[in-house]
Amino acid sequence: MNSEKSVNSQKKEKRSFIEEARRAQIIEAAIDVIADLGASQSSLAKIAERANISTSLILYHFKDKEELFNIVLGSISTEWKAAATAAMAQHTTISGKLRSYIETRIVYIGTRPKQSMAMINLLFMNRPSDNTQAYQTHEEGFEIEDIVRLLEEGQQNGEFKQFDTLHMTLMIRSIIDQFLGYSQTPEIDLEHYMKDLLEWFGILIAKKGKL
Amino acid sequence: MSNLSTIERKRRAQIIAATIETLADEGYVRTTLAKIADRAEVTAGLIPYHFKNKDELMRQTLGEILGGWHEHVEAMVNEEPTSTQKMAVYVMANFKYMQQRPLYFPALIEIVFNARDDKGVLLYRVPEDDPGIVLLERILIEGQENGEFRDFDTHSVAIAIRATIDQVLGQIPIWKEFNTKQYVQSLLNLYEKAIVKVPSEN
Repeated sequence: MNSEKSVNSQKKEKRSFIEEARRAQIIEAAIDVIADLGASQSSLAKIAERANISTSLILYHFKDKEELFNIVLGSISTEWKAAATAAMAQHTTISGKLRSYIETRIVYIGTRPKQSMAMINLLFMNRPSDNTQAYQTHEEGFEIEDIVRLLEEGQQNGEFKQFDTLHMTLMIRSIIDQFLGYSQTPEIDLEHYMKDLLEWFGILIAKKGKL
Repeated sequence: MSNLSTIERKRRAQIIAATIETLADEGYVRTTLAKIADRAEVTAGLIPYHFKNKDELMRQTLGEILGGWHEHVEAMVNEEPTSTQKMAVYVMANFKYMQQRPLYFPALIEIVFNARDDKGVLLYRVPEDDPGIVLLERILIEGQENGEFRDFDTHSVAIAIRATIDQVLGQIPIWKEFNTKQYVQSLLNLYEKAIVKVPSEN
């Protein structure tokens, strides 16, 4: 993310329409290649080939592979977060907001399988030697704390039961994240699963037993 | 397997142990036969004698991780009398097994998310008939049949529970300050609330 900030601060204002379009084209090709081949096998040469441009053109727009991958992940997160934020804003109750959060996530996995697969490949594959996943933190665009706060609000206004909000957040996130891994498993019926999942969280979280 | 000599078996186990360590430390891509040989303190030429190539070594390493893990969990579960207890032991046994072998899960993740065939297709994508999910679903179905559990879709719930377990297993090496034990207890309470029938429902 730091690299994205530095590029944005240096270049963003100056980027022309053509530059933006070219960057978008490269990001899209990178998503395709990363989804198909995994992050470590995705070379700039392969991405260039997919985008029908030269490798040096990629390097004109992005410092290196790492910067490109960071921006790819950032763009997927941003897209999903925007969808979730819009859906959540439609609701006045915290239950409704939480339901939208879960729904948008699962729907995104179902409707954007390339992006989901690219995301999981990036999350699991680029790992520095200290045994942590490099992209762990910007996984979803939402911070753990955002969801913890949402659950706390629900408890304060009486919609939700009492439970450990951090633990519940981790549970929700891990169940959703697991589905990223199923994004290319055609035999999984996401819609059916989503319904069951919401029912389950309803029992666990909401006082009235339903989100 | 049965016609392997004791020395051969020992040697293979030694190479697989070194493979798990190298995978956990370096990741799949950087794990070479030379590095594994180094760690196992054998000459690199010895590995192809026991395992045809890297793919074959990875396949056997994955088999070693999954086989022992699943056998252990199933044996623990089978000792419990009620479905509610089977469920709790299933969760605990998964954590304990991996906690005692902190490199196993990172090594497993490296193989599952990186090993690909010539066309780039993942070789070990989570299969629908993952033995861990099959066992969990069997516990849930039994619990519904004997009246301990309420009515829900056993497959969805099995996948959801499995997801929370796998997530914690993946985080064990990372969450240094996080109290895993407390979280597992919290998960168990939540599962029970969602799954086990309360008396008033009868």
